[in-house]
Formats: sequence, C-alpha cells, structure tokens
Amino acid sequence: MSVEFLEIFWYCIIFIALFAFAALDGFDLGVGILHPLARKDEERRVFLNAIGPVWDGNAVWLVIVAGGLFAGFPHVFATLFSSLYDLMMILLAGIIFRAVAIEFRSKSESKAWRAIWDYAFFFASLVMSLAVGFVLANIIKGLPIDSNGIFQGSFGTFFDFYTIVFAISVVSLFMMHGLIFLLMKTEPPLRQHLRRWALPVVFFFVLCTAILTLSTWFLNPHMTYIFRQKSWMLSFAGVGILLTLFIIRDVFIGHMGRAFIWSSGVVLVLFSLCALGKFPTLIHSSINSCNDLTIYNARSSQKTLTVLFYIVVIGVPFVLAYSIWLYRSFRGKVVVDSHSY
Amino acid sequence: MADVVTLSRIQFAVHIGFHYLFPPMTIGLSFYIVIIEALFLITKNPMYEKMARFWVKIFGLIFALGVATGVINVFGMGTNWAQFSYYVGDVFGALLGAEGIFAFTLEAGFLGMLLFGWDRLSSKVHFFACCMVAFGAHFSATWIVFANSWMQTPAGFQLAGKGLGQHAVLTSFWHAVFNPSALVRLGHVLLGCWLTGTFLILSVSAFYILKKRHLEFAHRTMKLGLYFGAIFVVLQLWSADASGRAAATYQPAKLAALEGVYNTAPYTPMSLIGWSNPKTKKTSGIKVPGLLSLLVYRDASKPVLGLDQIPTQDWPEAISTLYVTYRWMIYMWCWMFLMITLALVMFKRNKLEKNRLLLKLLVISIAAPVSANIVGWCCAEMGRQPWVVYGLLRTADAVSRSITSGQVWGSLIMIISSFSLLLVLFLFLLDRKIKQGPEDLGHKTDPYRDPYKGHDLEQTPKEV
Repeated sequence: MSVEFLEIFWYCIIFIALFAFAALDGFDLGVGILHPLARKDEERRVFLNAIGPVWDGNAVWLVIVAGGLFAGFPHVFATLFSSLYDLMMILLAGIIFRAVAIEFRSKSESKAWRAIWDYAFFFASLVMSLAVGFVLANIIKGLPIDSNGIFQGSFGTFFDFYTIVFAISVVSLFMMHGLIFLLMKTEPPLRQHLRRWALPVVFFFVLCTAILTLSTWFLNPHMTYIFRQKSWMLSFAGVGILLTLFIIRDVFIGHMGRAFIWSSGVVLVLFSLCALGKFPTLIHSSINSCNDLTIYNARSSQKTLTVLFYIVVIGVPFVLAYSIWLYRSFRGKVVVDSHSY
Repeated sequence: MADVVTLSRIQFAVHIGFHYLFPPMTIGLSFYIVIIEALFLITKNPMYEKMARFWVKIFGLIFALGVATGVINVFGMGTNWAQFSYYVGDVFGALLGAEGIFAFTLEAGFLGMLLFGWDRLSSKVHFFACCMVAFGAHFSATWIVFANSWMQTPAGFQLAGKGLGQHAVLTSFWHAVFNPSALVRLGHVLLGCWLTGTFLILSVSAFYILKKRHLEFAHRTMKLGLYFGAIFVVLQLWSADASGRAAATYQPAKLAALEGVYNTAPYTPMSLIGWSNPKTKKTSGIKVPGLLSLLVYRDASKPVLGLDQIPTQDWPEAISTLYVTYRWMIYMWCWMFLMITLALVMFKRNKLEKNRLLLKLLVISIAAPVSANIVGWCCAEMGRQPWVVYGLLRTADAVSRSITSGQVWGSLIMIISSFSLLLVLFLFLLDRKIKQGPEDLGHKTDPYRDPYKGHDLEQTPKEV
C-alpha cells in the first residue's frame, strides 16, 4: 500500500474517532451540563439512566483518539500531550470525576450524598467539555513549537479570545446535542419541560457558532486557506445551517429521533470543516511554519501504518456491529429499574 | 527529589499502581461469571442466576474504577514521557491500536448489556455478552502485557534517527508481538488475575459463612473458588519458574538484583529471608546454597550471573527494595497455596464451615494476591531500570522536555488526592454491596422481566 494513501487514511481515522467522540460522548456531556434542569430526584435519575448503558462505551472514543495519534502520528502525540500538559490534566480530572459521579450518585439514598454527586456530575461534564474545547482550539490556533518540537509557551498561551469562544462553542454544541438526546429518550411531563429549553439552547449554539466562524475566518487564516482556494467547500457550512433549521422544525413537530440525526449531522459538518481546514497539518507552529507537524513528517513508518490499516479493516466492522446492537437493545424511552444508576 | 524525572516516575507509579488494583479483580471475576452463567444455562438452577447477578454487580463497580483510572495511563505516556512515546510510538502504535480496536471497545461495548441487560435480553444473549466482556478483558490484558514485554525484551524493530530524533521502527509485527518474554509474562499476569478473582470470591463467601448468611450461595461460590483456585495456584508456580528463567536469559541484571546476587560464583545461593545491601555489596540472611543455580539452570553447580559482571551505571537503582518486593511476592504465593490447600481439605471433609479461624483468614487473604500483583509489577518495572526500554532507552532520557517540576507537582497532587478519595469511596461501596448480599429474585416486581422463562422464580430456595 502506498504511503500517500496510508497517511490520508490514518488522518481520516483520527478525524472519524474524534467525530464519534463528539457525536456520542457529546450528548453524554450535554446531558451532564443540562443536569441542573432536572427538577426532582426521579428526573435526575432519568437523566443519568438515559446515558447509563452507553456513556462508558462512548467515552472510549477519546482514548481511541489518543491511542490513534500515538499509533499513527507518535510525534504529534508526544508533542501535543506534553505541550498541553495542564489542559490534559484538567481534562483527566474531568473524566475521572464524571465517571465517579455517575457511578456513585444513586448508590445511597442520602439527600446530601446525591446532591454532592449531582454537582460533581454537572461540573465534571462542564469542565471536560471546556477542556476538550480548549485542547481543540489550541490545536487549531497552533502552538509555539520550536524546531525540536519542544513547546515554548506557558499556561497563559492557551487562553485568548479565540480559544475561549471556541471552548464555549463546544459547550453549546454538546448542550444542544444532549438536549435533543434527552427529548428523544424522555416522556411527558419531563419532555414538555425540556422542550421549553430547546429554542434558547439552539439559539445559543447558533450565536456561538456564528462568532466562532467569523473569528476563525479573520484570526486564523491558515485554517481557512483551503476554503479561500476552493470556495465550493463552503457549501458544507450551508449544509450545517440547513440541518440546524431541520432540528428546530423537528423538535416542534415532535420528531425527536430525526432531530437527533440532524444534530449529529451538525457535529459532523463542524468537525469536517475543521478537518478540511487543518489538512495536512496536525500541529501548526506559531513560531515558524517550518516546525509544523504534518501527516508527512510526523507519521509512523509505512509498516506500522499498514498493520494499523489491517487492524482497522478487520476490527471496525465488529465495533460497528455490536455498537448498533447495543443501541438497539436499549432503544426507546428510559426505564429506571433495579439495575439503574 | 524534585526533578521532573523523579516526579514523573512517582506519578506514573501512583496512577498505574492504583489502576492495577482493579483490572486483576475484574479479569478474575469475569472468568467466574462466565462459569456461573454457563452453569445456570446448563442446570437452570436459579441459585446460579442469583450468584451471577451478585457478582456482575460487584464487577460493574470495580470495572468503573478500572476505566476511570485507566484512561490516565495512555495520557500519562504523552504528557510526562513524550520522548518515550516518540521513541516507541512506531512499535507501540501497532500493539496499542490492536488493543484499542479488538479488545477495549469490545469490553466497554458489551459491559452495558452485562450490567443493564438482565431484564431486556434472553439468558443466552446475556451469557454471550458476558463471554464478550470476559474475552475483551483478557484480550486487552494480552496486548498490554505484550507491549510491556516489548519494553523488557525488544524485538522486531530497527533504530532510525540520531540524538533526540532516535526512535524504533517496526520491521516485523509478529516478532514485536511475540517478543521473547511476551508469552511467559502473559501467563504469569493472567494467573495473577485469576488468583485475585479467586480470593475475592473466597473472601466474600467466607464472610457470609462466618455471619451465617446466604449459606447456599456462599457454599457454592466457595466450592467454585477452591477448585479453580487450586489449579491456578499450582500453575502459578510453574509460570513463576518460567518467568524467572526468562529473566535469567534476557535480563540478567534484573534477576541478580531481585535475588541480591553480587558475585558470580558456582552454587549460587537463594536466600529465603534476608537483606540486600548494594553499598557493601552483600546479601545477608538464610541462604540455601546452589538453589538459585538449580532453579535457573537445573544444575546446582552452574553460576548465575551476578551484579559484578554488570557495569554499575546499568544497575537498577532500588536493589534493596527489589530484594524485598521479590520475596514478598514469593511469600504471598506460599500464603495463597497454604490457604487453598487447607480450605480445600476442610471443605472436602465438611469441616470448613465450623473452622472460624480459617474462615477469618480467608476473608483477609484477598490482600495476598492484590499485594502480590503490585509488588510483582514493582519487580518487573524497577528491575528493568535504569532503562525504560531495556538496553536501548534510559528512563532519564524518556521524559518530556517541555514540562517543569512545578507542573508535575500540580498533577501529582491532583492525582493522589482524587485517587485517595476514589479508594475510600470504592471500599465503602464495595463493603456495603457485600453486606447487602445477593438479592432474592422472588421479590422482584419488575414489569420488564420476561427472559429466563421456563422456571418459576417464586421457587427460589429460601435462605437458611
């Protein structure tokens, strides 16, 4: 197999895993951020059990992204994770505390116990989403990487107008996705209550995305280069706008399952735009573009990429088959029973 | 004490050590859950379903901790060990990629069915999900041990680049996977996991017998644990022998440090108890002359390579600690062997339930395999020092260049405090779940329940 094909193949795999994380764990995180909307204990348990059987599997995609980078682009993995040290540690704290909160909350009847873990679930989901947002924002903005691939910035480097807008946009995207997932999995009266929040949440998302798109266009020209060259690619953005309109329509006529598909489509469009804009650079160096880490200079050997290709071709059909089976087994409205969280 | 390398080593040891409390329990338990569910399918005895439901609950709790603490290990290689990740990425990539796609997703994917599927899936489908989780858990361990074995006995690669840019490049996937120590170490690790699962179920059933609760449940669980445990504990002796001999062949410095051998001489002794002092280069204690030579070469006169033949800069740093951890692991095996033998003899004579002292010892014996797992990995990892990839990359050269000790202090404090909290919560919940005991299925009023047709659940035997 030619190296040119394998490089692009693995770039696509990383992107697909990232999309799968955002589309799947995205709604888990959204449910966490929306957790304060639940009014009483029963409703909080419905929220938790809506994601109960699937969140663990969904979170695995983040590990797949990390492992995929380690495998296919080890130089990027090493540089990225050590450069973004503090952000990664905050992300980890979020991952640990979210898992623990979901797992432990309903294990005791005590009101104080449950209240503590409800807050922990909310904050951990919010922190995790923001951390994912800041990590992605800094990858897109670029990092001060010198010619040895060593990070020359500090903790303050990670935060500016652009990265903050980006992180908030990620939160708004997960909120919208999570809300629609909840609408799909719940029944009235909770569903009626949640539906009132649909318009504000979608509006918040549209507002954030609009600001983000404009600031990417003007502040990060290296990301929009390809779109200036090939303007037909901007039609992706048009698809995104159309899908958002579909979401609003289907939420109002009550086709929640369809709305969820459109919402996943919006996630796909946004991540595709990022993947197109970024290609073929994985880490843009803000010091000197000669130090950029690209799919050409940061990849594994042809042998390893070939092995990875076969692993994916053999393994992924199985992963897809049992993921679909799992979702089918737990389709329908949330049922809180004796095995639930 | 405060340099980045030392702090990062402490941090990695803390999070991987903490993580490793859980996987051996889930791997071991998954084995028993498969056996119990298979027995249920064959005999249709509702007691087995009751047992399966109880152990799946315990499994779920431990698994959640394993996942929450496991993610950090992948991240940790990138955050603190960037030079290492770059050096081994090409080889590790293929191994960890296989782990992620073939094993980990399988395990995490089917876990939902195992935990929440009781009332939604038929018993056969549930058994299938159970087998998939168990297979995923074992297969995941397989790839991780293979990757770690590559760090001990690298194979199937060549070196490319110079200086900071030097790294290993894969030349043969199968040689890298089945590197010289891979299979021996896998056997040792899996047997350790099965023994951990064994002592977990023995401990819980001994507790119930002591408290005179759930007696039928406890009796059946005890029987399973004792029979399989007897097999595992004997196999572990054979596996330990093979591991020791593999170390003698491929990592002589490690074996010499573990046994405190400073001089290469015929009839190399093995000390049963003692103290190894690298400053005076002497090991004092009760020694059996020629035993180590006999074990390694099956010939008491053949000398085992001592540390005097190895340059001092290639000695593991913590020789005294290694000597102690190695002996601790052996003592723990002896303890497990003794417990299982005594309990099995008593059990066969129907005297175990009256022997309260032995039951009490069985309850606390879970500490034996758990501590043996931890000290065993201390031997493997500290014994490989000063190398992170044996003979190729020194640990001091493997650390990330862009991080400061202040950052690592911060993350270390975060990890230690959140893990301590986790450990307290885990023990509290585990204790409560065990005290609650298995649920009586007769009292279930679940409208969604329809599988396991064909037998009346009201007939579940009443607890004595």
